[in-house]
Amino acid sequence: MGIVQALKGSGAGQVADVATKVTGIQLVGKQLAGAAKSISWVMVVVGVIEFILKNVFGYGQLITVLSIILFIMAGFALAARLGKDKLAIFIPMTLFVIWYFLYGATFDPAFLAVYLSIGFGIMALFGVISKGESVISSFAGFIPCLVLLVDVGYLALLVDKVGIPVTNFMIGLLKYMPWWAFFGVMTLPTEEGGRGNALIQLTRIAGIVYIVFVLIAPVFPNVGREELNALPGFAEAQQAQIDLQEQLSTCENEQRNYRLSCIGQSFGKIFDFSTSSSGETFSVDNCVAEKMKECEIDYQCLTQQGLQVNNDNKAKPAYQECKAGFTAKGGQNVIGIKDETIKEAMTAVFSDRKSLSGQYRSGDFLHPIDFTVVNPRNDEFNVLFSCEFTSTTDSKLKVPGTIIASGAQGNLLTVKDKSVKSTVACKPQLNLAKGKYKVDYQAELQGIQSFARLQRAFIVPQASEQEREELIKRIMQLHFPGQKYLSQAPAGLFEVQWSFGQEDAPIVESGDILPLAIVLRNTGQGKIETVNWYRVNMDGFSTDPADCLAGGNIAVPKDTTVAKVDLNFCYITGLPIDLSTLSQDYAYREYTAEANLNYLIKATDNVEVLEINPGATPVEISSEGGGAI
Amino acid sequence: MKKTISMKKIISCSCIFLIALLITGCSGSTQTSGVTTNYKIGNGDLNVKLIDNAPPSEIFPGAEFKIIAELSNQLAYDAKNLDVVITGLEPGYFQVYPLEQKIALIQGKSITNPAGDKEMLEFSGNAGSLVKSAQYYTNKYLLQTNYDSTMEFQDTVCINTDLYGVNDAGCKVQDKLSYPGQGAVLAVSKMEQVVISGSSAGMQFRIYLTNRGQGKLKLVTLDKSELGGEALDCQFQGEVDKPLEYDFKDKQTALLLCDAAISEQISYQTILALDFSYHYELNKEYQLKIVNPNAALVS
Repeated sequence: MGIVQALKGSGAGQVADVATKVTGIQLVGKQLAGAAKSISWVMVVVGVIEFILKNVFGYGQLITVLSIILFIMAGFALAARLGKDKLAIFIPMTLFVIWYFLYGATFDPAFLAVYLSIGFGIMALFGVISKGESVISSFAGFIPCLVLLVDVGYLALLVDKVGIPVTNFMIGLLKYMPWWAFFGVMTLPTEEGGRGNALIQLTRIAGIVYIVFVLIAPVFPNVGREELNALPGFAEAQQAQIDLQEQLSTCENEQRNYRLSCIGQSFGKIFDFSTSSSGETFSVDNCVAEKMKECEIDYQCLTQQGLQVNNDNKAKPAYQECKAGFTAKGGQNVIGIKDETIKEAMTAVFSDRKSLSGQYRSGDFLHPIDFTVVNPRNDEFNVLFSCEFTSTTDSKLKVPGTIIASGAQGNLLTVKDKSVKSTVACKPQLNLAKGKYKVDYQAELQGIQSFARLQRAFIVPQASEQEREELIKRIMQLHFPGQKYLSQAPAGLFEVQWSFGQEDAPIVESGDILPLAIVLRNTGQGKIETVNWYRVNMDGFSTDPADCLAGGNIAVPKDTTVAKVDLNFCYITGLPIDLSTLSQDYAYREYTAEANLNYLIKATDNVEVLEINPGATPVEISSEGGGAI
Repeated sequence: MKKTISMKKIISCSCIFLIALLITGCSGSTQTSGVTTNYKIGNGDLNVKLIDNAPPSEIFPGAEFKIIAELSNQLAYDAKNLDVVITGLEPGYFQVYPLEQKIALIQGKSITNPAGDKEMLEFSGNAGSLVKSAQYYTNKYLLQTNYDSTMEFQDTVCINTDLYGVNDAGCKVQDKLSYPGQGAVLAVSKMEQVVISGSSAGMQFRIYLTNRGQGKLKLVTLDKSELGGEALDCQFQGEVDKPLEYDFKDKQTALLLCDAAISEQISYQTILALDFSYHYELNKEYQLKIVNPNAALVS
């Protein structure tokens, strides 16, 4: 009520009642100050911030610090809520902190027997001192400990380690539950404790509504979905496909979930008695990298063969064969990752004009469509447009169209700028008869380029195997975390992907004969027409055959949309002198591979000729492929 | 009533504190003895760091920059034959000169030089270009520092081969002793004394050496071992060919066994003195970053 009045006061600009404004601000300030006195309310605020930061930036030191602060706040919040024997709450919390941080959360049975005995002994002592009143508080102190465990991924551990089924309910909890804020809401003071503070009451209501939403939303599978009453336009479908492909191809959207799962696994190591004595250290980063690699392989082996990513398709021989190819050494099934240092992707799309009905009262008309190119590297290339009308009633009845494109010379548009938009109109070369037609547009992008970077470290034979392993371990940690050993290409219509040496072992030892493979992946919606040229910039390396680092004019099958073009496979037989005799422990180098190709993008729209222009001679469409009078 | 509650709180707080202290303090007792100077106690290290803004956190393409390393000797001993190397830079992005520099000596902490000496090393660099449309490029690298140093250990020990204590009521052999370090990265962390009685009476000192620094201990050599001014017969466990040398490799501890023949029947206290020299490798990770000026403007 107070807030409403305050807001009314502050929002009444028309009446310009300064006194009311000041009162309103004061009231809001008073409410804030009142709410801030409740540690639970502060916890809700900090808990929400922690949840947002965690979801945006992932787990990090800041999140760890915030979690610990929230853990301590939770003790005070709980103490304030219970109202009596506050100190007893901190006994299990203190014991938990000592066990977790000082003793490394050990599950050594002998230690636990002693430790828990001491712990319960202290709790019993307090129980005796307080004549039994502190027992409830003592056990309540375990709640913040549980919330801390859940917040850092214990639920994910249960999913991952124990193998409990991942229900929608659980996904809701894993993804959307801000545990500390939830704890804060649950411990907010009651009417008497909060002294009727409106902000606390609002927070309670908002918190409960959100929690209820998290809990029940997964029950309704169609929440957030639009009804599909009609087929979407092609531009919309294109965009959806791009979105889906981006989601699947990068696997980055899954990275947060992988990290959550891996943090859960790392937690699981605490409980894993069978491996606790092995001395192996569990790396969350390596775990995420493994899962990302699996995801990339799934993407390459399923989506680019036109299959959906699901377990049924993973049982198919094509998938198995493809996956086996990825794991085979030296094969041409190289994969790459997106270059994270390049944010803008190259795109080229047709988009229809929704404002146009596509209905014409003459057989001689211009039907426009928009063509947009995003060219982040300011490359220069040409776009050759063409179009054609096809009767919807008889697909053999075709009339060629003439292109009139803005900014183009005839049907040839030269792209140099970072962003180019052209209106491309198609005019039938002959008057069309009454009827419905499909308009097919084509844009051939001539000479578009891309590249991929690849890093490798070179070592010379070491004095001992142990020194060699130590050096390799150090190099891997420093230069090749995650999937950095794969080639990195900017997002675009196609990607260059390549490798040399063993794909997952980026350390090159002098004397090795190294396989080199380079492929192109079609990551756009169009078709790779011709590969004009490619080259691998590795001066000073000897190869077998000698000319394997460059090539060109590679034909691509005409009638299919090719997902992958194999460019070359050969062997590196010799290193440059500066890499075969090193002055330091190792040398770290980056190489690039480039490719230039022609790429075809198509789009289709529908038009209808309603009646023939009285002044024009109607066209009878021939079924011989071209138009005729 | 209020007074009772606050007393209860105080008692409870004290209990928690004491018990926490008890639990955390149970990790083992440490006995300090045998320290000859104030500096030769605890853990010392050669501190290596890059000074602020050299290099800057972000470098524009084509820009010049400096990498300035500060080496501060916080050991209680001199560091010699220092070799500082930058490894792991991609020369296409970062041209740095020189990549290696040497220093003959950095004096350690002593009564006349309580802070220890410092040295600065400057490396000049040039940033290359970014690939087309890249917003940044990062390159992690290692600053490797190799040096030689020494460590001295001295303690007063009780020599008593009479296991039954029938001959005299002198000093008692302490079978286990712990040490907080000798002001170096190489530390004698504990020592065990084993009495061998009978006709060939003697004592065995089992000396545990530990790497207390951030880097890697390489070759450790026992240069001197004396008990009461007389040489001891020492050997690193498992080392037969070169018994006075031990390569730590990736290990953190080593065991040195020293035997002394004792002819005296009565107990007495005397000085056990050991001098070591060692080679140490310190690796620190840093990162250079080239940023696209246009991207920097946007951000």
